[in-house]
Amino acid sequence: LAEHGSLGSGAYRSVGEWLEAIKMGRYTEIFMENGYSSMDAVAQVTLEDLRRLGVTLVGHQKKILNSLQEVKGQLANGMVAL
Amino acid sequence: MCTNIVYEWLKALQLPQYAESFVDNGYDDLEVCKQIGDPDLDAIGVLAPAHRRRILEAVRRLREQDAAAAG
Repeated sequence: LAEHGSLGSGAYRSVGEWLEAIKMGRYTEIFMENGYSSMDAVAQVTLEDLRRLGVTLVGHQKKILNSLQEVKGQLANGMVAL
Repeated sequence: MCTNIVYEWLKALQLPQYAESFVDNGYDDLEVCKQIGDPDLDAIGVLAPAHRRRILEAVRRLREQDAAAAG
């Protein structure tokens, strides 16, 4: 089981949980509606995708992409159940 | 968390009360702060017109410093 989270990142069970954890919960519905409904789908998101989804604020883009780097590291290490 | 560069910048503007909200919204270094406009301030929750003006003026100064350094 993924019980590490020393960086406060942990393993996220859903896209909504992940976005809430980084205080970007306002985008949950947009992600779900556009097919980014699982963490492995979200791991593929690029800056272009974010812009297309309507995440236009550079701070929010930065926050989401930075967090995705961490999530991707966890996926690579098999810490997140897909 | 409150010792970062954005906190120092806001403190210099006498608006340190917004530091946590800046960082929470991803505006955690001066590069990203350079791109701040009205929609960013809306998201951060800087509502007072005087505060918005003060921050936008400071953003312009950051960009000018950049242009001067590049030129």
